[in-house]
Amino acid sequence: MGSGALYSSILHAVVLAILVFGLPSFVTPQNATIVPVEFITLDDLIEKPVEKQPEPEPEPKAEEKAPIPEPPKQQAKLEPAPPEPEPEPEPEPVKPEPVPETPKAKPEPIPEPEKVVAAPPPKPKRKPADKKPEAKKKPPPKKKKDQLASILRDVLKRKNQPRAAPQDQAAKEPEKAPAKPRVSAFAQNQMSQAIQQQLRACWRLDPGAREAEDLVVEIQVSLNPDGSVRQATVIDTVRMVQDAYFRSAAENAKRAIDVCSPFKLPIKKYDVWRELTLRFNPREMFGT
Amino acid sequence: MQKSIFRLIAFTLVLGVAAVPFDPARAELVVDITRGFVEPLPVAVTDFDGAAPGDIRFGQDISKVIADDLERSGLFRPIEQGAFIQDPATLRIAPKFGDWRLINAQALVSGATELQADGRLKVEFRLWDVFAETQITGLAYFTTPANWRRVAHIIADAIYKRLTGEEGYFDTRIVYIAESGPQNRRVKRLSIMDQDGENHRFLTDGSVLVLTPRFSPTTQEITYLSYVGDTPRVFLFNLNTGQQEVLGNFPGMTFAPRFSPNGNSVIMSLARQGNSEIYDMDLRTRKVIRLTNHPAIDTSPSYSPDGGEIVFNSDRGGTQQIYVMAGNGDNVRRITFSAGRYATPVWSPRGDLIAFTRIYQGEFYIGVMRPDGSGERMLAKGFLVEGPTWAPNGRVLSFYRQEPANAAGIVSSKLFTIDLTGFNEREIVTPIDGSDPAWSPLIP
Amino acid sequence: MRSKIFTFIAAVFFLTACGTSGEDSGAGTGSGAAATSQSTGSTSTATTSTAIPGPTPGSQEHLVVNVGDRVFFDFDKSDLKADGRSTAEALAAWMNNYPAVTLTIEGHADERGTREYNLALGERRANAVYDYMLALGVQSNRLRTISYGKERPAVLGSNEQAWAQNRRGVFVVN
Repeated sequence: MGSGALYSSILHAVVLAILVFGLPSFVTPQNATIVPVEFITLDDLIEKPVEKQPEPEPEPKAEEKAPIPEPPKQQAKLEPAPPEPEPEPEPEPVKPEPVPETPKAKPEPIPEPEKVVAAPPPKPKRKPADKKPEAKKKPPPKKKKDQLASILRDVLKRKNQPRAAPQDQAAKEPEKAPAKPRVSAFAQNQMSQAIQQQLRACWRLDPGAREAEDLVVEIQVSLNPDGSVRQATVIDTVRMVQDAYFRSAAENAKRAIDVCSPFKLPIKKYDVWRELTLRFNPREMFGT
Repeated sequence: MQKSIFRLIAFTLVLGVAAVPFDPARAELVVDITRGFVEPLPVAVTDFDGAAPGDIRFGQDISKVIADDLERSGLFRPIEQGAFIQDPATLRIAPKFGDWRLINAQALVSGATELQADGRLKVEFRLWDVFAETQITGLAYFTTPANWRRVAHIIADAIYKRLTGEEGYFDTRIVYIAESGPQNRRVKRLSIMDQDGENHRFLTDGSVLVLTPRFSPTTQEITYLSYVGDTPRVFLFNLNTGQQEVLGNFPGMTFAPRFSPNGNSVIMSLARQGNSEIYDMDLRTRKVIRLTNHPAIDTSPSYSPDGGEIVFNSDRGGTQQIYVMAGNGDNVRRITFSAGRYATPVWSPRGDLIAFTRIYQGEFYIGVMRPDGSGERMLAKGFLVEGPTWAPNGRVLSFYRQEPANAAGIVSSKLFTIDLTGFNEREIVTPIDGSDPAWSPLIP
Repeated sequence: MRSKIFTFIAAVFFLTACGTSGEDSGAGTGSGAAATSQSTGSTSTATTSTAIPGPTPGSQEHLVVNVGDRVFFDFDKSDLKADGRSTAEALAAWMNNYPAVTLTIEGHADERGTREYNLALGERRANAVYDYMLALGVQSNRLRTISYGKERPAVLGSNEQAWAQNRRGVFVVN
């Protein structure tokens, strides 16, 4: 009779529930007319628009009354002047520095005009497990955006990549280059890997930005002998101005360089790393 | 072109690490950075300064709301205020960037509040790039003191926009169905609150079953399903007036309403004699257009942001799947082909993704995919998760999660948000249970 | 709507030979007839005893006792099964006996579907009964349909037995 007791208790609960909250609302209004709402406190529901000015730069506007987009409402009291924001007069240019939006064009012309995005991926995915020492010819660039993005999470997939970057590879690669034939290539390779490894811990990116995987940012960097950054300039100045997503990605990349500064690089090879083009390309992390 | 081929070869030679002296005059190393990490940006949100004690209190409250908004987005990590070195008073003169770098702040928010002689509250803020040592945005707002919370959200949106490149979504509301009582006698009330759960209001009294509210993208109106008079029909609720009105006079049940992107029409299902079809009703002319014509169930329609296409749910192929058709009903094609059933497609306001519910192997998932059905990813999972809705910037989703009934037959249902990357799932705390969330546009 | 509660109470007190619910073995509240009457007896003994003479002919209670007030559907299906058809046939005969009676046919779904789809599915189920009743000669003006989707389960619980009893069409005397 254990189950009977169970039924009994469930039923009691149900009956009790019906008694407590159920019955009253069984009696629903039968008419199809307008339902009275509980309370409509317009003052709370419809707030005043606080118009946003797009950017601080424009000169302060006189307090013109912003047209209120709200439809007419009956309450007059508690309806203070629509608060309109004004652009900040931008009084103190605390720093003599130029506004970051318009990075100083470098004196020399931009060295590489062609778009990186269209180029085939510079290197194939190097999984630690991959033993084949870098096949000579790469497979045709697999441009097709497909399935799972690895820094994006999928609860159906067993293992999602941890959010932090893996700290593998890079370190163990220098010996792979044949030492003798091209010393300079070897040195470049070494320096590149050192820089990559250091930036890996500094480059924070937002994989949820629109088209994040296509936001490739190239930054021209001049380093001082102590490894600190003398200058870092985003090459695509036009896109910096026109594309807010790109600007955000570019600023993230610049921050990465700032955070990593000073780079720890051997002074003996200063000639190699004095001038750099850093190309921040998140595509691989998306698993595409 | 020549150059890029040369570089490609060079990459190959040097093990994929670019190191190409393509300009003999200036040997320059090109380094591809392909690995980074995903973590919230450390940001210092200081209490806004003020002269009078009242101003200071507003400043603290506003700063708190801003920091909470930023933190909840998952993209920012507000630094504990106890770690701050520079005090608000000297900060008002100029930031000592070194002090902020020391605590690893990458962005700094400062501000001031001042109650004006005319009773209005002035709130100004500045956003600083700590490494570049420059102000990257700054705005001032005048508002009634009662509106301080909105101003805080608006400032958080401005910060979010400047740092991410996307519009914010903090100055928004969520309309949803508040629920109470046992499942067979569930009392459901149309309800609304700020995106962060504040300013909660019940809009209906619970005497009538209401379901699936959706916000107009352009007006202070909600469309939803109501069982007034024991007849399920699509209604409009005007938030300004409190008026509710039946939408159209259809010879059957209307349900699954959703506004078009320009707010001028409502697309919905009409079920009649066992068959559900999708209709679009122009809200100005009240003209109705039938868009599907199939004996199967056709429901849960959602327009693409440009209005050119409609994604919807149909079982015309035998099970519930997701289909896309042109805005006039032509060119119907199925876009889901994986295992399981698919439902409740919602086109992102950003246009790049469609969110959906998937039922697969006895579990429910909230997922996203591209409009052609590719790139599918499951963001959240549960016994019952359903009804995704996009924040107006297309970055964050809200949905509801119902747990299985407990021994007493009682279920619980809660609202959640999640980033489209699949991280940062958060509960939106509501006074009682909730379901069917729908995000508002940015408040005008 | 009010009649719904009678349905429920009636189901609780008189559910003895309901015939339609073949899967009465489950743990649902609606099916445990023996446990029901004994557990509620203390609060409403009077009702139980006075009800013995039998419900008013043509009433909801009468329908429940003599025909059964519901049919069940398979998961994601809306076609009437054999036992559902015989219930509907009995219902049609019963309606012929009480020509003044009009009926609302409710369509319901279990909780294992999405809300909007289930509204459509419930509508489809209600209409499956409706169509069969018309085929049996019942006049259309005596019938109306309504779908509740998954909003009004008959049996609480998140298990197969509960779901099986919630995928249903219910006849409510207006």
